[in-house]
Amino acid sequence: MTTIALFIMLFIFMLTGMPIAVALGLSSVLTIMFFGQTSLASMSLKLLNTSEHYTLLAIPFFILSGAFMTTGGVARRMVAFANACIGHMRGGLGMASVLACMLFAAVSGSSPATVVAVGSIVIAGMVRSGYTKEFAAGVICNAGTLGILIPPSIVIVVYAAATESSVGRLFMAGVIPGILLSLMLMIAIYVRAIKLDLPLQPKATLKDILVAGRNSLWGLLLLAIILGGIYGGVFTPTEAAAVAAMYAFFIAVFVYRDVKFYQVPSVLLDAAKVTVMLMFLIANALLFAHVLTTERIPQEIAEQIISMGMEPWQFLLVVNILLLIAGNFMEPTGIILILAPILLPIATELGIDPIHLGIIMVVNLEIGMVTPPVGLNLFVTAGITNMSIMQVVRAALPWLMVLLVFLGLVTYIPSLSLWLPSVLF
Amino acid sequence: MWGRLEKLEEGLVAFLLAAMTVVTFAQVIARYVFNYSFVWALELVSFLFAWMIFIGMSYGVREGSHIGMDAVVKLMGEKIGRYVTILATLLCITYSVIIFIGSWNYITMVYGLGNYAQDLPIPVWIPRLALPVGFALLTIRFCQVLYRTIKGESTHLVADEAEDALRHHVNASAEEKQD
Repeated sequence: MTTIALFIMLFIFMLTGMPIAVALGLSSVLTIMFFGQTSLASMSLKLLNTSEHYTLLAIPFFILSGAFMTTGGVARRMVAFANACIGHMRGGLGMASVLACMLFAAVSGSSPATVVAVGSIVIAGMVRSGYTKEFAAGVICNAGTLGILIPPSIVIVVYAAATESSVGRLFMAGVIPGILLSLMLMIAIYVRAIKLDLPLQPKATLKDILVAGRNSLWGLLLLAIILGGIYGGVFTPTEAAAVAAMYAFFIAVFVYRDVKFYQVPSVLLDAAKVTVMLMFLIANALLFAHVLTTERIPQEIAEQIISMGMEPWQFLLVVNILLLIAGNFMEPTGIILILAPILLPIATELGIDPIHLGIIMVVNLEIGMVTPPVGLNLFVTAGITNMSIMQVVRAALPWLMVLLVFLGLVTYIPSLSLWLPSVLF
Repeated sequence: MWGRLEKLEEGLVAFLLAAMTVVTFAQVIARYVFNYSFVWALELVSFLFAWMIFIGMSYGVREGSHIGMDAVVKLMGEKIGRYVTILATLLCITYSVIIFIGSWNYITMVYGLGNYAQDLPIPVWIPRLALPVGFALLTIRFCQVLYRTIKGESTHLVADEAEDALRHHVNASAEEKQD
């Protein structure tokens, strides 16, 4: 009864177009007022506790470092480096833009930001050298999803907080799948490029590669600091994020000089705006999760599913379908916050590693970002190319198939995600 | 007057983020370089974080940066859509008033107990005042949205994320051209 009331209220509130954060908070508060014993005061305190959650403290810092690094200049340097490395191969420009997305994802924790930053540079270039606009837009739209898989990723931090898993392990777990997806996209581009007879670019000299590499090195060091620092035990993920933010500030203002000093307050304000939006959502989602657990809802669902005698592989298939559908209607953070607390107890019961489940969820949500109606990458790609949403959907479709194959691999080969963290930790 | 308050709101939110970052960074440096750790840093940062979140959420309403699903409302047409938005805003006000009352109860309770913070020498109700203050501001902002929607001015309860990402892009490329 309580469960049904909670979910129906949540659903109706969301449909009215109110902020998802308020829909989560209001449905939880009303459910407790009618069915529960918790006092209003301690519910309010639950919201405040979000700010004392150590893992979540990493979020503002990662967003801030992303805000300093997500400038046109950093993306341009990475595109130049990627081009110098593999531009001379058949379809090289396309493959280089995937590589650039991968590199850029390592300084930014967001997918649409990756599409906008890299796409606005490479799509025009690809069209100039003879690629069709559809080809270019489709590649970038999909490759941009790497932003939430390759560390640092805001979505992964949110998963870690929602499930009490280790941010460090999850970050490491995303590395190999991220590289694998990039390789798969590049191979697909190579195959298409031979068929379409796409142009080659002159081979860059070793000197060009080294110069381009040195120029983008400062940006890429960010990831080295984060992963190296966490792995080496120098600092916690939260501290790593704060160090990354200071480093990004220093590089953007004093080394690259993409951000002028007078612009720093507006970068801070932008990052603060995104942080607050996310944290308000997370605070209310944690209140929602609190209601779920006090009503023992995840446990009940878990018992039911296990009594159905579901095999782990069947469960993972159901998870994939559920997440693919949900990903069509909501953005990643919201889905992680609502579904992770429900899925995790079932997964643990079936012997699925929480880290593995996290990577599966992230990959599903990547796909959700390139499928209509709520695919954020589709919208931003349409925005930077002046194509209609429908055109972008069609353009993205062939590359989406690569993502689906990749999802299958990540789901049924756990060692793809689990090997690196198990070796390192 | 109002304009100045809004500038203050912006400045405060940005300042709190900067302060959090600097304190956390300084704490790491102090520990590794000077081998000195100040325990109160984490508590201070979490207080700053709380103020940033709860002052910021009403600023988010003003800027229309909270995410929501407005696809269905957009399908309903202008007139019905407007009624649904009014209903949604009323529900938002209900929410923020409930939490305001809850947090006020909480603050009076801890004030009565007279507890102190763990590491910093201040009574715990002072940093936690962020909660009622924030939800009071949030109520005001939602009432503002309600007033504008009823008057028929164009407002938005939730963000258009794609537009936001692209606006940044346009700003960034405009700035690059200036250079």
